[in-house]
Amino acid sequence: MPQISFQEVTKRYQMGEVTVDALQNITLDIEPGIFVVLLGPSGSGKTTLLNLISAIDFPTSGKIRIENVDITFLNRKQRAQFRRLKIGFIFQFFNLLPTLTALENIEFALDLVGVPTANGSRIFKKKNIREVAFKWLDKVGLKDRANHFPSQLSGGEQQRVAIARALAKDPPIIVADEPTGNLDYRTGVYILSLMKELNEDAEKTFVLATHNRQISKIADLVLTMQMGQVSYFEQREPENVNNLFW
Amino acid sequence: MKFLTRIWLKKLRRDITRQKLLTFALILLCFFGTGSFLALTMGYENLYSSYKRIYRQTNFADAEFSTHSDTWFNTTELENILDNFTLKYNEEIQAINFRLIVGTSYKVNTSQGGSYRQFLANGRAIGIKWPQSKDNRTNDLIFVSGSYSESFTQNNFILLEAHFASKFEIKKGDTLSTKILDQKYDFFVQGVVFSPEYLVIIPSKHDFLPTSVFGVIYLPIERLQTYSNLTGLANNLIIKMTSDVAATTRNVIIEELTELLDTFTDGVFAEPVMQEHQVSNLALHLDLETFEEVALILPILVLGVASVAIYITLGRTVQSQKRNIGIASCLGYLPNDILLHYICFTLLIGGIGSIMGISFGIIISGAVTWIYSYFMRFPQIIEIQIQLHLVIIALIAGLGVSLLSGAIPAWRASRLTPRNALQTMVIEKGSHVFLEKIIFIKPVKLRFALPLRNLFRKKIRTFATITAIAAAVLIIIVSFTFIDSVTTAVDCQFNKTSQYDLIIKYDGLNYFDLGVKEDVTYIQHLLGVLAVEPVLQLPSSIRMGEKSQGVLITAWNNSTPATHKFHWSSSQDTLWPNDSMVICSALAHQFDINVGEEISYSLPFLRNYIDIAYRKAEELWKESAFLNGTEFARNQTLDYLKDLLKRNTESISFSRSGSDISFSNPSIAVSGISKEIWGSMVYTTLPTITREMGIDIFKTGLDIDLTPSSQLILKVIQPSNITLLEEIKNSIIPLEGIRSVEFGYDFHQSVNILMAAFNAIIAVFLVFACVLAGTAIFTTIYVNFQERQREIATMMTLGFSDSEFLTILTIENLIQAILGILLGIPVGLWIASWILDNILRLFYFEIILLPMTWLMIWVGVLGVVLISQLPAFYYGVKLDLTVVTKELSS
Ligand SMILES: Nc1ncnc2c1ncn2[C@@H]1O[C@H](COP(=O)(O)OP(=O)(O)OP(=O)(O)O)[C@@H](O)[C@H]1O
Ligand SMILES: [Mg+2]
Repeated sequence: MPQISFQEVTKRYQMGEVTVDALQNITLDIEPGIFVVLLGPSGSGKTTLLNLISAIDFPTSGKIRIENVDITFLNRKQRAQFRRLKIGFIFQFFNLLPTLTALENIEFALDLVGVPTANGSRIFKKKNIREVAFKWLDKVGLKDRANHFPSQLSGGEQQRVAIARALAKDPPIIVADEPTGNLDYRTGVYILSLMKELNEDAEKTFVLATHNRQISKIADLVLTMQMGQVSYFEQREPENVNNLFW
Repeated sequence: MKFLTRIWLKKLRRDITRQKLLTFALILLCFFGTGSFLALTMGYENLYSSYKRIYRQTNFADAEFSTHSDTWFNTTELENILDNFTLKYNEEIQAINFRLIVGTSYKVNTSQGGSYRQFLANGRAIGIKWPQSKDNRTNDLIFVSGSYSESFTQNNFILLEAHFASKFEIKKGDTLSTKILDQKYDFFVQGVVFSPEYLVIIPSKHDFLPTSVFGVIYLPIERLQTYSNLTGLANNLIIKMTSDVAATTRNVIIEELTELLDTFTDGVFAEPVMQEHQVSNLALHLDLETFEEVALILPILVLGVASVAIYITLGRTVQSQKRNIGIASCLGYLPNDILLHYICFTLLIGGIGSIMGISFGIIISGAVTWIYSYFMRFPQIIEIQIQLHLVIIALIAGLGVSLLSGAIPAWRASRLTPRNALQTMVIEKGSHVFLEKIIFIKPVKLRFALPLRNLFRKKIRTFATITAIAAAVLIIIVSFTFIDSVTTAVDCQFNKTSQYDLIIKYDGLNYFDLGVKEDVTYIQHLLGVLAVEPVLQLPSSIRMGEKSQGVLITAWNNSTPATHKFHWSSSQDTLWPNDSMVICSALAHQFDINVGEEISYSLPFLRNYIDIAYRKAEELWKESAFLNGTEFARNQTLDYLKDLLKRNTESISFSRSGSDISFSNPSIAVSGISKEIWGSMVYTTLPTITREMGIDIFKTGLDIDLTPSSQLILKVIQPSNITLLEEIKNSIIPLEGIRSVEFGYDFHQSVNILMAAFNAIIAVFLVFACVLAGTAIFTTIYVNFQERQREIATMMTLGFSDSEFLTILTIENLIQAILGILLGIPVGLWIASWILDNILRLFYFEIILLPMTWLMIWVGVLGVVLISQLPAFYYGVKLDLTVVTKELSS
């Protein structure tokens, strides 16, 4: 059973006379635990596709199933619930809440879902949440920055916090839209290796959008997009992150 | 002028249409600010200038000298005495007129709403020099109908004051049934007039409300002298200076005249009353002062909030348009083009708001003036004009406020370097909030800490919101304190404390055991009468330490009067049958007197004392001689006089001229404090006063210095049964020497009408407060929301539900609202108490805010806040979440 499944999904923008098909009749299946890279030029529909996976946008037509749930017809509340549990977000512009510290930004996301226990229930105790958040901050190598506010962190550090935030709540799917777009090469590579590592350790599905062909080297699956269509499916053996160069 | 090119104008239009609600809110604030300023200021300016015009036109006297009660001066003698004086100040003095003022009563009737009622109303007749020479008419009359020249046609003509005439629908040509000194006359009403002295009818300074059932008539002095057997005498003198006399000169002249009159007339004159203290003028002045105060405070509050709102909004607009600004300046637009572009925006808001506010204000000011003057029953003499200088001030204020508050953001925008403006990645600084650690001792969920931190993000903005809410709360508190304090006090005074249904005023002087006693017995036996009590009212002054104050002593024949239930301030308070006094809270407050302390009081002028003693002795002699023969009567009368002298040797003293008898200041214990509205009322018993003076005089009258009259106060079984009251009244009217019979009921009604008008005004204020709080909250919340759109979208993307978003929004706003309320309450109470003390200074009101009002303030303000956040919530829910994937600045 594929984890993410699109059936003839179209996203159309109507602006006066002009009609833009951001996505055209897309059908695809993604298996759990793999690292997917969406590759394509600007305007090809990468972000649109991610938005549909993560249920922050609606398709014009077609059907989307994620983890066996048809998300096409969920209402607002159900969608929020869905995003809360299933999707971890990593944005190009980080989107950390400026009034919360690094640690708190992670706690904030955890607050919504709680911490899973051995018996499958979830606890919402401040203490447990803090513990998990801190563990993740440590994992991204920022434990000594716990009390820094976003404005006091570099871009790379912010993105690491964002990764910790996305993963801390233990979602099955992580979407990342140009996560390195605003970072220099070294930091970008570091972030990518971090993501790759987490993908392998935690067996989470990563869907990463980029127009950087180099990055597609680390993927299990590369979907090349062009004018709202997936023009090319490539299943490949991922290369080591350190081999990337741009 | 590149900023006016088509493209910029287009942008301006788009800026406005994109934030329609916000622009509307800002315009609304400017509108309310300028509108309220103009409506109120022009309202009172129109009234002020109308009064001034009337005073000028009628030569309103600079000062008035009245004699003490039952004393007169000889006009010819006084004229001779004043000759030198007027010659000395020939330049300054325009006129000095003598008048005779005598108490009157009128039999009039109304048929309001089909029910016919007869009234025995009292008033006064003013005898003036007739015919008046044109240049010499001090306190001249304004004719509503009739004229001076027509007046010769009838022998028994009078001119009737307009308030009374309109109340009882009496017109020129009607007959007015008048009693002067118990003698009936049918006067021919030759004209209806206004007088500068009676623009509001307040018979004396001890009266609570303006009345329209007090009739003032004017007639030639010689005729009034004949009616009242006072040929050649007068009791009132008014002086008018030429208009260019300086205030200091005026005072010197009045002082000199006071001294002159004092020496040459054996001190028959009481202290002069200056124009500014003349009761009608003073009352109007106090009224307008309130107006003036409010006319300034309210617009300042509204425009203050407007300016903050504009500042915040424009600041945020500039922030969000940084890129456009950067691009524009890269393209070569000059800083000044950018500056002017944003200035245009604020001027547009200020301009539209002010022009609408001014048009609205002009209309309302007319209405305000008209309603006020209609209420005071003088619409004919008030002129409504558009005062151009005020319109200009309003326009300048409206434009100025918007310009000033928009200037800083606009200037900042124009100084942005393209590099700064085009910088995309700007992350707002975050910080811990110290408060968080204090309030939440245990760390709590972040979603509760978040709103708190948000409050500290833009401190100025939070402060502005809180201030705006506080301003609204302030208006609400002041309005409600007014309503609650005044209504509670007035209600208590007239429904619980003063429990009379009828007041009967006698003509002239009466002695309790000579005449009044029979009346009391007669009235007691009328059907439906519960109690009838004689009352003595004496003007006096009380003293404690350095402080002294003129008061009105009311003495009951009984320490527990049936028609007056004291509203004690503590359970120990009481009035003893002998030798104690009860003061009202105002005096207790002013003198800082506690129960058990002693004060001294004086009966400052008792020139009549000898007269009274003499007449009393005479009556005693006559009666006794008739019953017991002359020899016995002689001894009895002598004994009485000896006793009188013996009793008073210690306390009576004579002034150097021998004309003034006064009692040394006796000390008396304050045995209770009664919570009443009167500023200068003191209660005691008749035995206390009688013992002090050794004579059981019974003399009263509110305006004691003019027309002494005795008074009986009645309480009936069924106060609401008007038919029964009418019957009782009709049985009393034929009694000898009765001047007026007044219904407590009528008085209550006039109080109620006044209260209703009062409440209507307050209601307008409350609307203001709500609009103010609403728009202020709306503006800041909305701007905050716009600014944090991305953040909110992020929260929603991470899985925040609508209700969780609403919770955060609500917590943030509730904290601001609560802080605003907490700030507004003390300031509001402080202003309210200041107003109650200073503006309504003739009366005393305890600051009261009823529990219901407290509840309404909290629920109301919080409700308005919650409603004002709805637009932001609505847009939050509709927010397109894909913005989180877009670039930062948009
Ligand atoms: N809100 C919108 N309204 C109209 N058209 C849109 C909207 N969002 C995206 N589009 C259009 O949809 C198409 C796909 O946009 P999308 O953002 O998915 O591209 P992308 O592949 O993410 O590009 P980039 O690499 O520049 O981020 C584009 O042609 C864009 O113009
Ligand atoms: Mg994109």
